[in-house]
Amino acid sequence: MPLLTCDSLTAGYGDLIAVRDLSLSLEEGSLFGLVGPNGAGKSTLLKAITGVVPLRSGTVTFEGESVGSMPPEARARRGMAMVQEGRRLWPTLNVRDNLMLGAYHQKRKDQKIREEEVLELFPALRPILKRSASVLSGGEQQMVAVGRALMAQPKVLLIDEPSLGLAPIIVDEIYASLPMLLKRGVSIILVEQEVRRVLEIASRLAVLHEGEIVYEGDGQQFKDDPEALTEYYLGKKSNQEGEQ
Amino acid sequence: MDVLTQVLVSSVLLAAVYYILSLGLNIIFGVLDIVNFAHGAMIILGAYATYYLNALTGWNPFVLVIFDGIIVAGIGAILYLGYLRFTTNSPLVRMFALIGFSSVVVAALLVLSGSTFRDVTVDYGLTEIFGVTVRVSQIVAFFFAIVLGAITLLALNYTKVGKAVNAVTDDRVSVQLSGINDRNLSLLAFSVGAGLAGASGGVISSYIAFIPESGLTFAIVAFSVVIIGGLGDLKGGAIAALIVALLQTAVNVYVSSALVNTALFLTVLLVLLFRPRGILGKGRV
Repeated sequence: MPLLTCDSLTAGYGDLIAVRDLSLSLEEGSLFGLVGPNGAGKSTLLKAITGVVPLRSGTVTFEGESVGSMPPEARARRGMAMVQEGRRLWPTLNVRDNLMLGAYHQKRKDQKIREEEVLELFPALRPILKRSASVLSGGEQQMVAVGRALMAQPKVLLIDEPSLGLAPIIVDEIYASLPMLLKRGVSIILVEQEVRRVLEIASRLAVLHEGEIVYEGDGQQFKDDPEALTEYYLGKKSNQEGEQ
Repeated sequence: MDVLTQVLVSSVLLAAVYYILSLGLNIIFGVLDIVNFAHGAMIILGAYATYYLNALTGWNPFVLVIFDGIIVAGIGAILYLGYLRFTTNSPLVRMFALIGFSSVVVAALLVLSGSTFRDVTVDYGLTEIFGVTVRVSQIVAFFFAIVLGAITLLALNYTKVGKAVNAVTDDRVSVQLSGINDRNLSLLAFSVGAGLAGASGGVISSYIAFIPESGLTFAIVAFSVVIIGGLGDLKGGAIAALIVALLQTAVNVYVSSALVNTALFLTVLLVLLFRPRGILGKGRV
């Protein structure tokens, strides 16, 4: 049984339908990469899965339970965590408090253990635990954002464009943490603009175009030739049934 | 006796009370984005709670401050749960609901208590600070305000729930995604804000007589402090409370008591024009 399934999911804002009749499933312990041009609906899809954006129709099933009508915090407490685009930390709090609130419902002792796990993953955060989140560099912010999401010991982690606006060397560091998370049993859905990076670690890849999946597969054929994805990016090609 | 020293001493004593007068308004705005037009009504509810509880029990108004806070916090919770939480998408409806609530409160108090001034001021005699004669009750009110303000700020900055409330002010979606029920925090913030308004009404009643419409006077002070300090900025609010107290006292002493509110509105206007984010520049627009 897949860990997370979306079935015929439609979502959007106001008159705009950003994700249309979309289905996907995430196997436990795997990394699902979602790529596509700007405005393809990638972020909206993640927000619909976590409940930040309400579903227009369709279902989200997590560990066999239908969670599509639950508020975001109820889904989070069942083991979903999300790193939003732009990090979205709490700037009036320091790094430690940003992390601690990620494990809000845990006992103080357990919060400490979680914090230590995050610091093992991102040692760069250790010296800046007391620094205000408002003065962090982009890379530090991203580490705190991922760390905060991990504090709740999620079963699935949804990450929205972690490389956005960061220096390549910092992005390397963030990406190096992902296989470690998989090893710890966290399944991941990764939204990213940089296809090459996703191809390296994703066991499953989907290309989104105008709210629909136009390619889904293991993505192996694109490893040597990411350019071949362009046709899908532009919506000129689809390997999905019932389309074009 | 030096007039300047008198102005300074009176202002500092007044400033602490003005700060807690504005604190609830500021918290409610920061967390819920609600401009609480019922703030004055909540303050006067606190004052009347003192009056009636005092008549009932004979207890000292300062002892009753805590009960005023609890009562008005309860009323705030009912108002929030019963109505306000359904109006998140319509600020205008919300505004009218709060103004309507205020009218109901004032009308109810008029029916209940009439328009005679109610006086529960305590007389502990007079004393001197730096050569300035002040009422002892005013000093007690000052300390009550300081303690109340300090407890609130400590709770906000050093407890888990307080930090989560701050987090809601920063980014509500991130709070939801962290598995924290933000609606409960909103309810808490609204009740605490209302309770602080009620408690500050109780503190004020210890040295000023009041009528049902007095809430408006206190609300003007509270709104001035919040605007000058910067919306949602609790530190700026502390400085603003001192500015408002100094301004009112100085205009009263050196110019004319008739011009106190004019000077206050002018200052608020200037701040809105030149420092829309408040004196520290950290408030919201």
